[in-house]
Amino acid sequence: MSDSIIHSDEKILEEAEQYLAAQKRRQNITLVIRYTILTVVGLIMLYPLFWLIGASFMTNEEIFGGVGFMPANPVMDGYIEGWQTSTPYTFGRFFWNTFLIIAPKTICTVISCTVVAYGFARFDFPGKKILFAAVIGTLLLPNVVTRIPQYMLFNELGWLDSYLPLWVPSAFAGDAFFVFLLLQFLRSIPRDMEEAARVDGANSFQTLIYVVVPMLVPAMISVGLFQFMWSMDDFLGPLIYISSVEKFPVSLALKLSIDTAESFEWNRILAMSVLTLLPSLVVFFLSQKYFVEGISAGGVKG
Amino acid sequence: MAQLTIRNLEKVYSGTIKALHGINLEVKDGEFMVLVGPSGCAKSTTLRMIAGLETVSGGHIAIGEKVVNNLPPGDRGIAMVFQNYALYPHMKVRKNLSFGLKLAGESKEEIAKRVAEVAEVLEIEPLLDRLPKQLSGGQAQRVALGRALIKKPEVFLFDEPLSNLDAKLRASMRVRITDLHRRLKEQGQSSTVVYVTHDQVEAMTMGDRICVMKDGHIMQVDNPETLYARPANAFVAGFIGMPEMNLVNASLSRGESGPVVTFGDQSIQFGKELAARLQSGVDGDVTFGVRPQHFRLAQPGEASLLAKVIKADFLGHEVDVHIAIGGQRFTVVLPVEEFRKAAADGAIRIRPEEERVFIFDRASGLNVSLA
Repeated sequence: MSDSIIHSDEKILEEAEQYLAAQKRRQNITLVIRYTILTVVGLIMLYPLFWLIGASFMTNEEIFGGVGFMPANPVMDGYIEGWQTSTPYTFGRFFWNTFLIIAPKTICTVISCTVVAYGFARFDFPGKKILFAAVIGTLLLPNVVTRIPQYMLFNELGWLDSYLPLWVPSAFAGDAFFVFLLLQFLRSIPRDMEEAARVDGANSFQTLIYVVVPMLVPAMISVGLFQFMWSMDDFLGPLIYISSVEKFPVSLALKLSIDTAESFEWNRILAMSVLTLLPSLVVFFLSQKYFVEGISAGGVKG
Repeated sequence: MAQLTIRNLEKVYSGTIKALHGINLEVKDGEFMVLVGPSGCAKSTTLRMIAGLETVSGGHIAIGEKVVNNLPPGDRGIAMVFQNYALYPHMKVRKNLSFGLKLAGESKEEIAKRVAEVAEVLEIEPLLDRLPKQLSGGQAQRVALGRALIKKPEVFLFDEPLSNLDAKLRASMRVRITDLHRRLKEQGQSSTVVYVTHDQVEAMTMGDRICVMKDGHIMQVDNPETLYARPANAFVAGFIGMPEMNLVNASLSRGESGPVVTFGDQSIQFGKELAARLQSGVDGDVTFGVRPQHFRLAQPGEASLLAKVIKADFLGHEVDVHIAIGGQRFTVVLPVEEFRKAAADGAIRIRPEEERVFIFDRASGLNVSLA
């Protein structure tokens, strides 16, 4: 009697093990399939970037010799000659120009958008609804529509061929998207802390600086990062407002090397493109943690 | 002197919705005043108006001799403890405590001294270098308490500070807060407290006086004993006390030997005690009120009510019995043994204690048996 019970127990255990093993096998197979698909798609998407980096170490002849991205004999010619450019300035000058545009633009954007978002999120004032609708309305307005009036305005102000048209609008929270992003983040933060600060004797400005800003940091970093990357990519803005070569940012400088050279030195262009990509990549990876936190707008746990 | 005076205080939202209907309240220097009431009774609004976090729509608030209606919260001489602690999440406990003093421009030495004092009183010294997210609920609430204490305010405001804690912790924090209040009072420091809660146990155990509110009106302000023993109206009678007072529709007639109260098909005769208390002219439809604890099993031959037992909840030494008398539901609390003996056939004969019986006007809810 007891023997048969043991026997059937063993059988059940065996069946269970078989079932578990089959389940595990199925899981492994789906895992392999999933990762294979992801890897292939990822590689396809990253291929142009790999090719860009690889080709920047090739000679011009090799670039057009095949589709592979591994240079047979890596050379630094592209970087060395590309850096010199065909103008009296090195590429370093253009990087510095880019910095002169982006640094004030990013800083001003973060400050102005934070102040404006704080105002909309936490204060009641006459005309708030209309003003907010106007801010959001500009989100829907295509950039192109405002180009000509803006150009004429900056022309009147005598700001053409300077960096002012590129960053001054940002100093007045001209980027509605960022105001909106910060506003959404602020709405998810309970007001208790700010009220506690007011009871502690802080005025609105002190509350903003000491209490709101520290909680808003992830969102502010996202804003800064977006602005940084978008400004780095911006081609049209500098093209319209900057006319002297000595003031060109990298986006225009890259185009310059295509325009002026008699026969394009592709490896130089590619090498400089790689360098142009670097700041965005570095900044992104350094602040990735905050960036993700910021755009997911999690706020603070109650 | 940190007396708090509220005169005809009104709050109107969006021009039309009246949340607070001109209340008057005086909190004496050093008094522990509890504002209690169900959700939506505007008790928190009142507190936030005292704090300066809500604007005043009408009337005035004075702390000491000074009307504070238009002063910013920081200049009112108040400190507040919030329900969600509201600690600054990015500051360590030490900085959370000292933030207000720093804004007030206190010297570093003074700040360090006060932080040490408060930390000792509240036993939070080991927590000073932690961030709020590294604290448990009870610890966080102690820090929040410390943040109020360190300012040495004239008036302390508490907005349901214990409702996020578990029952055990709540009980110990209750004792801690009342202890602290007593100690401040003994030391001659300002210790006027306005404490908002929806929990009547908190109100009864902590308050020197309790202000019971409903729908933006004050229903009664009195000490806990008086609120319990002499409720001004049916709302207060029902709100204060556990289990809730039985409040049932009845009709009252005046017999020769005393008032007679009728529930459906049953009546009970009361004597001179109730007759003496009843306001003259009270007759007909009334609300009859008696606490579950104030019933007793009737002696044979005594005027009593026959009650059908619906359900009995045993609580150890006593039993909450749900009964029906003349179609009206009551709850009575009886000793277990007595109830077991009496309720053999599913019915008991009970009698309310005459001196603990209240009669309320049906329409206005006012207690007409207090004279």
